[in-house]
Amino acid sequence: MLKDIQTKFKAAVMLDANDAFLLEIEEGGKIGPEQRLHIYAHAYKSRLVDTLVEDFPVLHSLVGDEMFEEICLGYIDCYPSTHPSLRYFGQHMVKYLKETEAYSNIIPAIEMADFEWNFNDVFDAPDAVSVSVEEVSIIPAQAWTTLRIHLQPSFIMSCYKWNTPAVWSTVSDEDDDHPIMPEEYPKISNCIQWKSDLKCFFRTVPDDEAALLNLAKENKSFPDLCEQLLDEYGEAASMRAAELFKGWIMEGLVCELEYLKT
Amino acid sequence: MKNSKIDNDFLGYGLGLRTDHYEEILSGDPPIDWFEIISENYMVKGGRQLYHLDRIKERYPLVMHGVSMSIGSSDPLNMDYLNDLKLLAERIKPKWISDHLCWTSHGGHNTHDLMPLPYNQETLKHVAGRVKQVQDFLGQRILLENASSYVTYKASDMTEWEFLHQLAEEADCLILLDVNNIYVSGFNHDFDPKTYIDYMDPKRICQIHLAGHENNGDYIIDTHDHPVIDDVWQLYDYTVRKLGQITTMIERDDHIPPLADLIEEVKRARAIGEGHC
Repeated sequence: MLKDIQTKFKAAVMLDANDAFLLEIEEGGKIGPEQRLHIYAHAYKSRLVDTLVEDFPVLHSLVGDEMFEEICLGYIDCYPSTHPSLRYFGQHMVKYLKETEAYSNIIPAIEMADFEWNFNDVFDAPDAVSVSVEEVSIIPAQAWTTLRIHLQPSFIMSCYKWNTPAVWSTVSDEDDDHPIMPEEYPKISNCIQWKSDLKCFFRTVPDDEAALLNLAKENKSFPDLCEQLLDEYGEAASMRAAELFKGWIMEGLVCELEYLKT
Repeated sequence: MKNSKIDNDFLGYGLGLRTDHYEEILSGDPPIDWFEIISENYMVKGGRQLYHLDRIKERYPLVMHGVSMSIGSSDPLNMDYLNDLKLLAERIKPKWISDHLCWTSHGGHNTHDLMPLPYNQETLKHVAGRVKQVQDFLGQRILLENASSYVTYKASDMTEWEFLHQLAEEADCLILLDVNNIYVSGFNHDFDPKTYIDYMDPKRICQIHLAGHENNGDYIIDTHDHPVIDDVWQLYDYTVRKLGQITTMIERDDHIPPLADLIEEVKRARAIGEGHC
C-alpha cells in the first residue's frame, strides 16, 4: 500500500497525473484535495526551476526568460532528478539541449550550458595546494627528463566554436553595461577551467598549449611534452614547453611535480 | 541505552549555518552555542563550503541535518548516499545526525521535497526497520524531524504524533521536534498543536527547530523565509514548559537576513528556554 501511494503521489507531482492520487487524500479542512496536491506539484517544479536558474545564469540571460522557462520545464520532464542532492540536477542540460530539436541548433546556448556546468564541477572538485615557484626551482637538472606534471583535480578543458568564455565573462560582469554578443570563432578554440586556492579561473589556450595540457593529463613526461612541440618549434621546443610550464605554475594549475630524485 | 538521549545532549541555542554568514562567524565571535549544517551541501569532494566548515567546526559544536535520506521511501535505502553521509560525519564529528520523517525519492527519482507518509502499522514497521538499518550503518542513533504537511491520507489510521512516538520507541531513535512545523500542520489539518506537544516523551526529544512560514489565509506553507511568528514563540514556550529545556535552533533557509537579526531570534529562544529551567 505504501509503494502504491508513493507511485501515485509521484505521478501526480511529476507528471500531473492527479486522478488516482486525489482518491487517496482525506477531504476536509479549509482547502480541498486538489489545492493540497497543487502545493506539492508547484513546490516540485519551482524548486527545480530555481536550481537551474542558479546553475545557468548566463544561459538564462542569453536565451531570455521565456525560452529559459521552456527549457527548464522540458528538462524537468525529460531528466527527473536521480541524485539526492540538487547540486547534480542540471548535469544533463547540455545533452538535453543537443537532443531537443528546438534547441539543438542554438550552439551558443549549448556551449554556455557546458561552460557554466563545468564551473559547478570545478567548484566542488577536490582541493589541492598549487605547486610554488620555489618547488620548481629545486628540481635537479637531471630530473627534468623524468618530470611528470600533475594538474589540479579540478582541471577541465573544453572546445568551443563560439566566443562562449568571453560572453560568459562580460554577461557575468554586473558593471558591464554593453555585454558582447555571441560570435562564431573562425576556428574551434580551447578553454581551460580550474580552481586554485578556492578560486575558479578560466582562459582560452592556444592549440600547442592545449596539446601539452592533454599530454600532462595523460601523465606523459616533460620530454614527451617537448617532443610534441618539435614540429612547430624545432630547437626552441624545450624553451616553449618551459615557458608554458612556468605559466601553469604561476596560475596555480599544477598541484604536484613527480620526478626521480636521484 | 534505550530511553536515554545522547550523552551531553544539551548544546544550548544554535543556528542553521548558511554561506552568507561564513565570514562573519569566522571573523567575529557571535553568541551562538552551536550550528546545524544541511548535510547534502557538504557531501562534496572539495570547495569553499568544506573549507569554511572545517574552520567553523574547530570553534563550534556542529550537528548534521539532512533532507534526502528518504527514510520512508519504498525504494531500497540509498547506500551511496549513506556512505557519503558517514564520510562527512567522520570528517566533522557532529554531535548528532538528523533527517525527516518523510519520503523524498521513489522509483529512483528524487522529489527534493519532504513528502508525507500514511500513518499506519504497515508504514510504521517499514520505517522502523529502515531506521534501525541506518543507525546500525552509521553506528549511532539518528533524530527524525516532523515535517510540515499539506495532505492527510485516507490510509492513515493514527495521528502523526502517535506515529512519531511509536516509531521512536520501536526503532529506538530520537526526535527533532520542529515546533513551527507542528504549528503549520496544525493549521493545515485542523488539530491543536498542543495536543501534539503533550503526546511527546521528553526522553526522546533531542532538538527543537524554530522557523518562520508563509500564511496564505486558508493554508500555511513552511517556507523558512520569515522570522518566527509570535504564535510559534508561544508554542515554543509551551513546549519548554511541558518537556523541559531542549537544544534549540533557528532555521532560516531563504531571504537570509544579516546574522545580527538571527542572533536576536536565538537570544529570544534562549530567554524562553532558560526561563523555564
